[in-house]
Order: sequence, then C-alpha cells, then structure tokens
Amino acid sequence: MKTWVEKYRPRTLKEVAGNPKAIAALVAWVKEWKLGKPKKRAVLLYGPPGSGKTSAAYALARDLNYDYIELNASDWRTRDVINRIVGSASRFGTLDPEREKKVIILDEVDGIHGRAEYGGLAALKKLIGQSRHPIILIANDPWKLPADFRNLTLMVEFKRINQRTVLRVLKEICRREGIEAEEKVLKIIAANSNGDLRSAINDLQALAEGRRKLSLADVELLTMRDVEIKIFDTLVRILKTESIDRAREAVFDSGEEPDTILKWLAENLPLEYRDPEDLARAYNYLSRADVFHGRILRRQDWGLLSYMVDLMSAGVALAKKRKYPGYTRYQYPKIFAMYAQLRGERQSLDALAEKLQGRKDAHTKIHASKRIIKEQFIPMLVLLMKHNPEMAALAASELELELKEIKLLAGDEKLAGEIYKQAEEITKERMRRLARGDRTKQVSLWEF
Amino acid sequence: MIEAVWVEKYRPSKLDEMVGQREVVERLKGYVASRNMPNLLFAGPPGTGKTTAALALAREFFGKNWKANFLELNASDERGIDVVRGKIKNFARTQAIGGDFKIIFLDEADALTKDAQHALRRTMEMYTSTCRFILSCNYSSKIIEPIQSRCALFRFRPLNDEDITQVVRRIAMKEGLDLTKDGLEAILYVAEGDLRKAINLLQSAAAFGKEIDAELVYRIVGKARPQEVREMLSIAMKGDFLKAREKLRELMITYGMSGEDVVAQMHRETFNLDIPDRQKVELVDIIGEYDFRIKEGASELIQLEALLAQFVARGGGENSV
Repeated sequence: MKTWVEKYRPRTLKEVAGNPKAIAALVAWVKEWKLGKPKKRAVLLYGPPGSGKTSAAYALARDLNYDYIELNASDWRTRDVINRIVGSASRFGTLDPEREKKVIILDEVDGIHGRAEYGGLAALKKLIGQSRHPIILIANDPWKLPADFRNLTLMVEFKRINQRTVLRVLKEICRREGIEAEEKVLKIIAANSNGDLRSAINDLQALAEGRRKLSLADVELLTMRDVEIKIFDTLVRILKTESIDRAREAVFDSGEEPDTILKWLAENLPLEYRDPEDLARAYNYLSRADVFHGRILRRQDWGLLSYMVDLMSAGVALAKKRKYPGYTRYQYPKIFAMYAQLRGERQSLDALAEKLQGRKDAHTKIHASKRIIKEQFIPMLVLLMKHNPEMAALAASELELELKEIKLLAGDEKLAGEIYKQAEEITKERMRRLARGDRTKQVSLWEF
Repeated sequence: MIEAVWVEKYRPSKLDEMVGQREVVERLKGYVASRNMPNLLFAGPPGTGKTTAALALAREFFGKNWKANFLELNASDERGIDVVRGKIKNFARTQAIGGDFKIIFLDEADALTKDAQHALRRTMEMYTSTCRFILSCNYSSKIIEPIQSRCALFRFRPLNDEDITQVVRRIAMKEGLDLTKDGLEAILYVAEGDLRKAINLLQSAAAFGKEIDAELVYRIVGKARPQEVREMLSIAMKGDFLKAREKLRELMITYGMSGEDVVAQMHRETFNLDIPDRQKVELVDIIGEYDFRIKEGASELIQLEALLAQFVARGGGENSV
C-alpha cells in the first residue's frame, strides 16, 4: 500500500506547499546551472522534519526533466560508496545524452559521521568540487556539519509549514480521496502536526483511511488520540529509520515518557518487522531496555535511563536488516488495559489474602504467607464457591468475607449473593451458640 | 478456629500430635519441660510442620494465654525490615502474661535481604530478656551466620508417604469422604512430602463430591492448563508471532497466570516440542535468561513477548523470511 505521503508528493516545485522563499532560491540556483557553472555546485536544504525538503528536491529534478540518483540513510555513506555511486554519476554520466542530466540527491547528510563513515565527508567535499551535476544535500541540522563543508554549499532554509498551509493540503487530500471531512477535525490534525506536513498527512491517513466521512463525532476519538498522534510520529521515526541518531532523537523529541514509548513499541513491533529474526533482535533490545527500566525503578538510579532509551530506540531501529516500506497502522497497546486489569485483580487478591491471614484483627485465621494463600487456599476457595456452596458459605462466615470478596472468588454475582446470604445465617447461628457459651473446640485427628 | 479450611481445622494443637519430625518434637518438648528455650531456627521445605510446631510450642508454653504471648509475622509479607521491627517493638514492649517471655515467630526469614537480616539480628539482641524468636526458612544457608549462631537449629524433613497417608486418611474419614486407593496415591504424588498441599488438595477435590479418585485429583491439579501453554509454543514455533502473543495475553488475563507460571510452564513444555534436542537446550538457555530478566525488569508482559519472539525466530515456520 502506498502511503499518502508518497501518493500526494508534489510533482513540481510550484506544487510544493509552503516555504516560497526557499523554493525561489532553488529555482534561481537551477537557472545558474543552466547558464553554466554556478558559484556553488551543491545546495544544502535544511530544516525540521516534514517541512518539504525531500519533496522540493524531487520536484526540482522532475521540473528540469533530470534524472536523479539518491542516497539516503539506509545506504552506507563511506568514502568508498560515495566515490563509487556518486562519483561515477557525476563524472561520467550515462551514455544516453538525454539521460546525462542528473541531479544527485543525498538525504540525511547530517548523519554522516563516526568511524564507519570515516572519510565520507571528505569524499563528498571532493565530489562537490568536481561535479558536473547539481547536488542536493538534505539535513535536519546543518550545524552538525563542519563550517568548511557548509561553505561549499548554498544553504537554503526550510521552515515549519504554517497551519493554514497544512490545512489546505489536508483538505486537498480529502477531496481527492473522496472523504468528507469536517474542517474542525482537519484543523485539529493540522494544529497537532506543529508544522510537520508529513506527520499531518500520516495522521490523517491513520484516522481517515477507509472512511467516507470524518466528522465531529470522531473528534472525541481524535482528542483522545492527541497523545497517540504524537506517539505515532515517534514510532515512525524509530521503526522506519536505520540511523542511530534519528532513532535516539525520536525519543528525545517526543514529550512522552520512555516507558510509554517502550510499550507502544512492543505493541507495534510485530506489525512492522515481519522478518522473525529482525523481530527477535528488536524484541531482545526492548527486553534489555525493560531490564534497565526495572533497575531504574528499583534503585531510583536515573543515570541508567540513557541505556534504556538507547536500546529501545537505536537498538530497535538497527535490529532490522532492511527497511520495511509502506504505511503501518499502529495500534493502541493492549498492554495498558491488561496492566490495569491485572493490577486491579492482583490488588484485590492481595487484599483478600491479607484478610484470610486475619492478622489485622490480631487473630490469625490461616497460618500461611500471602504467597501460599494465593497459591493454594484461594484456588481451593474458588472451587468451594463453584461446586460446594454449603462449605463455601461456612468458609465465608468464618473468614468474615464481604459480598465483593465472595464475588471475586465465585466469579458470579448471583451465586455470590446466595452464598453471602447463607453465610449470614451461619454467622447468626454461631453468635447464638457463643452467647450460650457453646464454643467450638479444636478438632483432634487422634480422638474418636 | 476456622472449620471451613481443613488445614486449620485439623492443625494439631499439641506437639505430640504432629506427624513425622519425631526428633524435633522430642527436643521441643524438652524446652517445655524446662520452662525455657533459646532462639530457634526452623529449616525445612514447605508443609513439613514448621508453623504448626511454633504454634503448638506456644500453646504448650502459655496454655490459654498463648495468643497474647505469640506474634506471628511473615518476612515475605511485611514490606521491609522496618515494618517487622515496628511490630516486634510494639509487641515486646509489654510483659508476657503467665510466662517469662513472649515468642515471636518470623516465617520465611530467608526472604529478608542480608542487610535486613543484620538489622533483625540487632533487634533480636535488643529484646533477649523479654522475647524468644523462632525463625523459619526453607534453607538455613540463606540465613546469615550471626543469626544462625544465636539460634538452635532444627531441621524439618519432607514428610514420608506413610505420614501423609495417615493424616489424609483420617481427615477423609472425619469428613465422610470416600478416598479411593488411586486417589490417595495421586495426592501423595502431587504433594511431594508437603502435607499442607496434600490437605488442600483433598479439600479442593471434596468440593466436587464425596468420592475422590485419581482422575479428580489430577483434574484439579491440571487447572494450570499445560495444554494451553503448549499450544502457544507450537503457534510460536510455526512462526505466527501475533497469534502466539494473543494466546499469551489470554493465559495471563483469562487464566490469571503470573509471568513466573508462564515461564515455568514454557520451560517444562519445551521438552515436549517436536524439535531437535540440541535446539531444546538452546531454548532452555534463552528461557532461563528471560526468567532472570523478568525478575530484573519492570514489565513481565514485555519480557514474555520478547521471549516468544525468540521462539518464533528459532521455529523457522512457514511465515519466516
């Protein structure tokens, strides 16, 4: 399935939404190429995610009817690779003169660093000096690149796209998808996107795909999903990238707790990583991240948080052998509901076990630890409730169980009610006997 | 006294009525005769009479005042040594009624960390004149030396089949049950020398009717549903992670299994999988690692899902790429 981001990517520079200044600068630069060698052989498009850099680069190539060669984060940008792929394209071109006109697009340039990509920048610098072709470099944060490198390029800034423009694009997509969307709904998506058109389109797709209508009735769902929309973006950024930096930044940029992101990742990992080996590797990192989380909670050692974050983001991102293209409909972690349920149940069972011990009223009823009571006595009481109401009623009376505790054991309201009523009778009878001074004695197995 | 719970109803109130542990009982009776006792350390597996011995000892020392002079605590229940110390302090403040000292019974003392045990040792020292401690544990080696050296050690052995048979038969008779020979054998087999387990099992079975045979006993024990865990594993080995995960969630929510239960059963069921033995060993290694991670980590659900993913990757089912 094609993502809407791909499906509606602008074909021409004119169609690119927002950033008119940047677009104008690009058009001027291309003209320079047409007139001969420009002052700068490479342009560096920089700005926040979803501001139109990649779209502008491809639209530009299309406008000129140029072919393009692209390298992105998934390719190893070492000196060798750059020399081999980009070098050949820039110096020799193809045999077909029409196809000789090429734009070289390099995405995520600010991700070039480290020992593995050693020499990558140097090779790129050399390439910029020699190239016969326009080179478009794309980066989120150009200030990570060395100044002498930046100086070789024409820097073009892309800013966050304003909400009105985002809204206009969303409306256009709805029109072409044949979706009747209320303006208010689209406005909420636009506001949520914080100027990131890509995430706005992804959000729209997540909510509207397969629907004919998107109305205010869905707004409740939408506002509830405020957090989810943000987290969808975080998930995309971790699960779709193979860049260690991008994955880590996704967590830092997200306003969510790492713990919450971890649970979202666990829920959605198998939807994204379809190769079992990728899945096993990624889950291993989530598991390790959870171990650090446990240590943080137990020791209050927040210094360990960075390991948790690195493993759950970069660990998971790099666990895949290749990217999984296409749009994934992420889902709300069932684990949250399960935790609430498990916690509720465990708390009630804990409370019940404590009551069965009876130590609070200084009169021990069952002499065993809570663990043993939960393992042995409570399951037995459950069986009594279900299969022997008479014995169950006696137990309920002696253990002074309340209706809700009987319900927890019997698992059935009506049955619990009956047992409770019978237990009350037994209690009354015992009180009468006690009033007469008639006490039950410990039963000895050895007397007959 | 709780009649509806047979373990309590038939718990012996006199040392002489205890089954097994003859040697222990004789030594404890010696203390009663001399009206004094040191601190005691009861070591032995569950269901062998440690709590019963402590309760019976208190009754024999103090007669009908025993409850006022006896404090029962469980180290694994009370959160932290501070709670334990607080309760002990409160209890030890007042004079014993009709005796020279009070008895504090601290069950599962081996659940305390080393640091907590050192704190406990200081507390024991503080109240030597007014209190005697009985500590119980499964393994005496988990109790720090300084405490061991201040206590008389009593080892409780697993009860043998004759001992358990005696008790179970008598209870069955008193309760008017028809306990078949194979029913008794099934109880002995499952209880493994744990009398509490045997009695609870008998009563659980009695919930269904008067006749108790092996089939009923095994049906009750089988409640943990090994076949469900087996099914989950076989789905995982076929490569369908999402379906296996659904099964896992069902086990935990619908059947209320704890993470530990699931891992323990996965371990057991691994040997029944239709895979080469070498791979079984590998999987056991992985299960062990995740068992450890569950204890170290924050979310057992995430750990269990991650463990399942390891099974899927090693299963090489039709969905694998």
